[in-house]
Amino acid sequence: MDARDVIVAPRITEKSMAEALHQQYTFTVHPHATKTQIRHAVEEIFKVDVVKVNTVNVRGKARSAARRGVRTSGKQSDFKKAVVTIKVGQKIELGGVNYFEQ
Amino acid sequence: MELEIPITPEAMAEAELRAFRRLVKSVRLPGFRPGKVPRKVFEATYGTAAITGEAVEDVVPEAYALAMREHALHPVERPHMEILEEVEGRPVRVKATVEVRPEIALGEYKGIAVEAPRTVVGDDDVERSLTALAKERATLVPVDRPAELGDVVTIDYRGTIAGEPFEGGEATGQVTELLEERFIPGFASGIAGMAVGDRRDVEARFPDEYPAAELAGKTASFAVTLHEVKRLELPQLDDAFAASISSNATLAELRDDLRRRLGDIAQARHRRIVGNLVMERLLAAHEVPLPRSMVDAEIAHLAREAAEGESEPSDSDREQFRVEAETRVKGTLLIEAIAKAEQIAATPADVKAELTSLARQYGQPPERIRAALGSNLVALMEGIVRTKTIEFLVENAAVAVHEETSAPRA
Repeated sequence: MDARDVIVAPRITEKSMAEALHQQYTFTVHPHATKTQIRHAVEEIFKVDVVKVNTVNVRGKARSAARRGVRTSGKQSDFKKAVVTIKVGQKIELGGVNYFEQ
Repeated sequence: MELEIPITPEAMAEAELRAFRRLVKSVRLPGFRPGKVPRKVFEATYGTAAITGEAVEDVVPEAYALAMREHALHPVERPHMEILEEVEGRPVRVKATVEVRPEIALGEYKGIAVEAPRTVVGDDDVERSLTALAKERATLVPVDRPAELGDVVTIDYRGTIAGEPFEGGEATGQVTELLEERFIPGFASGIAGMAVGDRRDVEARFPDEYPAAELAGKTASFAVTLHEVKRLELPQLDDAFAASISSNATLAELRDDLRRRLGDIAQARHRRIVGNLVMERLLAAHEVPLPRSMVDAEIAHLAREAAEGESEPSDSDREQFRVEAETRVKGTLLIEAIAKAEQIAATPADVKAELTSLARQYGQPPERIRAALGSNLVALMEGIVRTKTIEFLVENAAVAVHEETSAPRA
């Protein structure tokens, strides 16, 4: 798998922003990506040294809605999330913008 | 006048931070609670222009206010702002165009020599007021004698001019005081001498300046029937009368009271005349550059008053009010300048007194009046300063009084 297929997108949330201060950057990754693949992908794309990779499979939330009186149900997509810890002193910027900085 | 105001990057940065804090409260982005979006994310999503624009709204008026204070300028209206130079969308220099209150070179305003009449209250004036009071308490007594001038009569009349009836020339059962000055010449005196039940034709001539043009100068013939004659019986002018009509115990006291009141009226009138004359002198003696915006505002105000809010005043109306407006603006500026020079100000006690007097006028508690006034309190204070200043001018004027004897008509 190519590095840019492994890393789908950065996750920009309050939590990920807070963790970025501690060298931990969060990404949405390919559901089948392994920690090793993620480590190599991040190192290749962002030119940083990865210390640790934690992953978690996030289950999409169930959603239901009433349409014309009929109840329909569904769910948001599952996805895999990776929290990548990088070496102290290094940082990740995206598109010239340093997202992970207050 | 034009003013160039620099805006420091620090001031701008600070304003941007404040703008961001304000804006961030209202944005909703997934992954963030409202108001928790970091500035970097905000800017990446909405662009920096949003913040800068908001900050300019903040920083420009601030810089303007600061500049006004620094230069001790008193603008008469809101400024017209223009951005002269900007770097990356951030203003560095702005130009404010504004009209300021002109500096007035005050000439002599104390000891202005004016000549003004002052009415001297004589005994006849007091007696006349007393008679007017007595008439209010007069009783009507039917009398069995021919009508005399001054009686109250009940009459029918039908007027014709050259045999033709005219509008307003007819009445039935009219009760009226038979006074020559109340009717067209000849009418009242023509009725005098008639006995109850008499019919008589009375000739009377409309004066040449009579308001109804078709009647003016014509001689009319009135067929008059007299039904009733009553005499106006004035009450006895004594202490009891004085006590019944006023809070004075005796007639002598009532006379003194009337004399004092007439004197007050005469004095107030005298001071008003002096005030007007002094202002006239001052207006003539001073050359004041008039801010266009003030004159325009005054013209608009006058025109609105005249039209009573009927419609927007036209340009010709505006021209018509120009002279008056200019005089008023000039007067206002002069009075302000004098007030400033003499340090005349509205003290809290003045404001309180004014509020109390307003409260009495409107029959409401002073607090209510104050609340209703709100920001108009400033206008109230300006009014007080104006009154006090004019009083000051009157006090300090060199008045040559020439005394008059006849009472001012109440």
